[in-house]
Amino acid sequence: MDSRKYFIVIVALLAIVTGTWMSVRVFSPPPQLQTATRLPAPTELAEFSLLDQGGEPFTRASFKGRWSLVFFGFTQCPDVCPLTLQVLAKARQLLVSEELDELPRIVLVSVDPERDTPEIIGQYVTHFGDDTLGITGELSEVRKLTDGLGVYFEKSAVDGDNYSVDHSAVVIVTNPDGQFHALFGAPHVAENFAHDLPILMSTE
Amino acid sequence: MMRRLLVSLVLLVLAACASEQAAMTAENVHIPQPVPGVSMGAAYLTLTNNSDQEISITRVSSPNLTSVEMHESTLQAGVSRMAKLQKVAIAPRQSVVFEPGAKHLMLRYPAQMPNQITLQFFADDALLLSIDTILED
Repeated sequence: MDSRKYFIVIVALLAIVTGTWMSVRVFSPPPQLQTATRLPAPTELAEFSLLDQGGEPFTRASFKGRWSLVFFGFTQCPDVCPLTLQVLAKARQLLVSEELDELPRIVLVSVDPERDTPEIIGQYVTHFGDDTLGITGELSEVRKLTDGLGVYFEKSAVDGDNYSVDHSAVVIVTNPDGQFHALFGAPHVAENFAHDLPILMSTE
Repeated sequence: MMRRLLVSLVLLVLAACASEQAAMTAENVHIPQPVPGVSMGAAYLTLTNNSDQEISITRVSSPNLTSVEMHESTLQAGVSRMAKLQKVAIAPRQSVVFEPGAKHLMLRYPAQMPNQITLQFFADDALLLSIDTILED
């Protein structure tokens, strides 16, 4: 085979490889969300004024600059709340292998601010990883945030003075513009977050 | 002679009792370490009724804990709720599972965290089962 034939074969092979690559990149359907629901258009959060675990102000603007997974719970919740935070912490670990610019942080907003002081919620969230924030404050300010997100919570009597708090089990995803971007409904599974979050975070 | 016969009879009865399975047994007991600084925690296990009669657990207590209550977490229309259970009935030859996100024991810990925990299950005042376990690491 002379050099001209070699050249033609190499060009043909390059054309095949390029064509295959283009068809995979251009014509393959983008990965689909499995469990998350993305809002048709991200919405602004309501104005609110709460405190983080260090007692510093935490407002709507505090959500800007990071992707956040926001869960509403309380520290005296022995079952569902630690379970959900463990799932979110595991999801973050699973996401380490993904090529994300940054992992989303976890934000626990207390629906029991009467008992959850910044110090108490701070001690609590530390158990679930370094990049986990605990937020609390005045009940009326928590309501401003939850009402805007359609998150429900209400005290419920258990026994005598003892009470629990019924609350939406949803996990809200906020984007780096500080907007309500998507949500995950319960029950929560770490693998579902690990699958859907890269899709959500790559298509802002 | 009479004394030897009596001792043999007692040993026989004891052996029969030992070989008989308890009316209620527990498996897969696990108590996760409570989150530091929080006095509440949960315990999970499977209880099996080995008898031919229904068993109703009306109370759980522990000498190592401030209190133990039977609770149930439910998810209704996206809302997580927790309710105290006054009793848990186990049908004959059936099991009831206490697991995350469902029925569970809610444990209230004293300031001094115990290393070992004894859980006692009662039907009214009758002790059904006592188990000794330790907190998970």
